[in-house]
Amino acid sequence: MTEPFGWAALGAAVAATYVWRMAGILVASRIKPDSNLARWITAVAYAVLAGLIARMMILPEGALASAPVADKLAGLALGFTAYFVSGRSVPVGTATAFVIFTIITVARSMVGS
Amino acid sequence: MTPKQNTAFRRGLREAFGMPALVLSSSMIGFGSLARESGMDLIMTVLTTIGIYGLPGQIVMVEMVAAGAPVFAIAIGVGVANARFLPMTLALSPYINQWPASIWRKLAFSHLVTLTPWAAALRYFPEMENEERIPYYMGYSLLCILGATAGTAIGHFLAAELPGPIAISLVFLSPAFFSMVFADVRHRLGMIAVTLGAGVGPVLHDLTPDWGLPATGLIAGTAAFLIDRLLKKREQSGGAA
Repeated sequence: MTEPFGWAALGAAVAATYVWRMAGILVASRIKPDSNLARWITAVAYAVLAGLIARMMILPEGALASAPVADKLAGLALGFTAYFVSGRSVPVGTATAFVIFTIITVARSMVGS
Repeated sequence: MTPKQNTAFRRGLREAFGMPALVLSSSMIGFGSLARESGMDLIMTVLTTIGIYGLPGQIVMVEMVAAGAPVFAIAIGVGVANARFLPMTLALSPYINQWPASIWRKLAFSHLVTLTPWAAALRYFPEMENEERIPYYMGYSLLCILGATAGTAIGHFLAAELPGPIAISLVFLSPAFFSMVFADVRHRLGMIAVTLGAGVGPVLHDLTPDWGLPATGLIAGTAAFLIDRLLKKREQSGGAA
């Protein structure tokens, strides 16, 4: 990427990201711990992130657009199963989901479908 | 740093060194190769990871740069994709407020707010002592940004050599990891918010791709907050209701 345009774009993107973090710090001191406001904000943050992850898993869009939804859900379902069977181990669940998804994806590319 | 803070900092480094940093650097391998294919050089690609430190926004930036979008539009697009950093930083406010540091140090600290260390913080902060929390977070997040930077550079180098199916699997690793992390949220308010957010998120995204995510936060987050409060009131009235 050459030069002035790329750097201007990078600078703008970094600034547009940092303003949210900065605003968070500047407003933070006005929020009382254990207040209803603090609990509401925590709930909003969790909901946004869960919505983001669910979107990547369920909808064919973004960087995973070319992966069939069924493949993602198969990896996810077996990952959750392994997570619970292993006594709620995040690493075991993640590794299982990854391995299953990789096997399906590689197999598909070999079959050529 | 007091000895206790030192120990907490190293605990943060140690706990990030493993699955969390591995997942982050793997997804950054995917990002690095995407950026190379979009024509970005190594320096700029690595600076994107260090400067933004949040994958969804980074991907938006690279795609818009590749498409030659105007700088102003890129700022808006990335800003919308990263707006989650506001509620995420605010959710840490009870702990940030107890940290006796100048506003400038807090502003510098805020750059370390990103999903991987944030999820660990919400999980483990409550059981930690006050002076341990911020050092732990710093150790955790600094190792994560290091891993992210390394992954980005590796991805940029490997772009041409990485087989397509493997590249996609590396991208899948990150949402798979966070699905497990969010399934592992153990307190009631968080569990309700995660369940509602995951259910409502894709639907709202279909209705309005640009505003689906903030709307998900406001609607599902508010509903979760109200449900949690209702349940709490019932408990306090002796569960008789």
